[in-house]
Amino acid sequence: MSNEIQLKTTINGIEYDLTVPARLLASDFLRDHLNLTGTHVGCEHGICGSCTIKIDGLTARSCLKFAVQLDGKKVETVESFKEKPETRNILEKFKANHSLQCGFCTPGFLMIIDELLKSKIKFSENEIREALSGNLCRCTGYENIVKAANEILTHKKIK
Amino acid sequence: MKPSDFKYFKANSLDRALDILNSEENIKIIAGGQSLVPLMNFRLGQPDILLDINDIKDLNFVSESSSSLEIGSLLTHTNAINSNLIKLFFPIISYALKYVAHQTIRNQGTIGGSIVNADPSSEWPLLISLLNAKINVRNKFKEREILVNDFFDSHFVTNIEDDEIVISVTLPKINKYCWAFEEHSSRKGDFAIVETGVILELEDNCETIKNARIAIGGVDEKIIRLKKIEKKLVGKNIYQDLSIYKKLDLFEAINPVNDNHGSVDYKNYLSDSLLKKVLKKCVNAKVISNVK
Repeated sequence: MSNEIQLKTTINGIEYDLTVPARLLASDFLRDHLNLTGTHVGCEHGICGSCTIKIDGLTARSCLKFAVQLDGKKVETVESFKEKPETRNILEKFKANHSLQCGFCTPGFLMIIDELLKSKIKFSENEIREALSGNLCRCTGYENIVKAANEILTHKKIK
Repeated sequence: MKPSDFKYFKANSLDRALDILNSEENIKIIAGGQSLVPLMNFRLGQPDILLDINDIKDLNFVSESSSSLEIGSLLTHTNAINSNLIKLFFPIISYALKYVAHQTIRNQGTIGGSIVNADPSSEWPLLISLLNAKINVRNKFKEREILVNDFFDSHFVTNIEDDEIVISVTLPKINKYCWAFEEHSSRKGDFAIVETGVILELEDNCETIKNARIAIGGVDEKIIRLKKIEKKLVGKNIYQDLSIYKKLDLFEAINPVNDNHGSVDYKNYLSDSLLKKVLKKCVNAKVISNVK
């Protein structure tokens, strides 16, 4: 039991073995220790959704997790999006639909859309809106975000 | 907006966790952390030790016996919504949990965390009150069972001791019943201003009410069961208009406060309209009858 903890974790396919303060939030760990600044920090209490990452395939607010809790987990951040065709497609749809203005909230929206894309359910537009409602966009550009999400999710193949 | 310094310990077994709880002080247990970590970020909570129980596999389960379902305290809201056993016996749970915040929060938040947080406007506390749950808690030396009536004390306060962990929640099965749940919040995913649920247990004819249970949340320091209205529903036929009850029986039982979500009058009005809505909805719902 200590306030400095050894941490072994895999982030975007890369393994890390580091010692971090116990009080370090996962969001600050990604940004300040690993320089993965794609994960944005907005409200720091789990409301805005900008810091959303995936832990073992499920979305999580990284401001509500401690870095030490990533021990033994597989973590994906928005930086992984350019590597895979299905996530690259999400980026392209966002670009085509002008789904971002300032871009601050975008990483969070991308993560949740990716989670919806990988679930085995087909979504109606209402359900998509509901699922996206956990992420806030202060430019209020929701229409174009929903438009992109609709294009991505209504064309998804259910295996 | 950063937590204060603390020591971290990840327990890989229940015994180890109970040892730590027995020997150390000012400990907070972390499960999903979806309510605890915001409090720590605001420094409203400053534990000396954070005890992480997420690796205790024994606490993450749903199991069935002939008379009840038992839900392990580490089951997340997402896994509860997707559980076929829960859907079969208590579809009200699968339905109501979709009102818990947003998907990302539901992926992490747990039943144990939600009930020990004891927020009178959240969904799990209302559900376990409505389902007459027993909460199984354990310390290093013994296990005990707390009836849900004795579990919640006040806002964010339960009757669990500092050295105890919630192991599971037992929900007695109900044969032949219909249910409804509704809540109102300013925005989708926000805390409920008022939430209410109803379960009507029926006689074999599937029409006469054998036993009624009505719970309401957000309007008092804990979840309230509307005993007077419950009693008056017994023996009635569900096809009568059940939404006619004495308003005084409702308003005397609850105790809402003025806050930035609304006035006392507004919350009384909302409680009354939600209760009428669930009573109507309940009658039109499918009767659940799958207990052998």
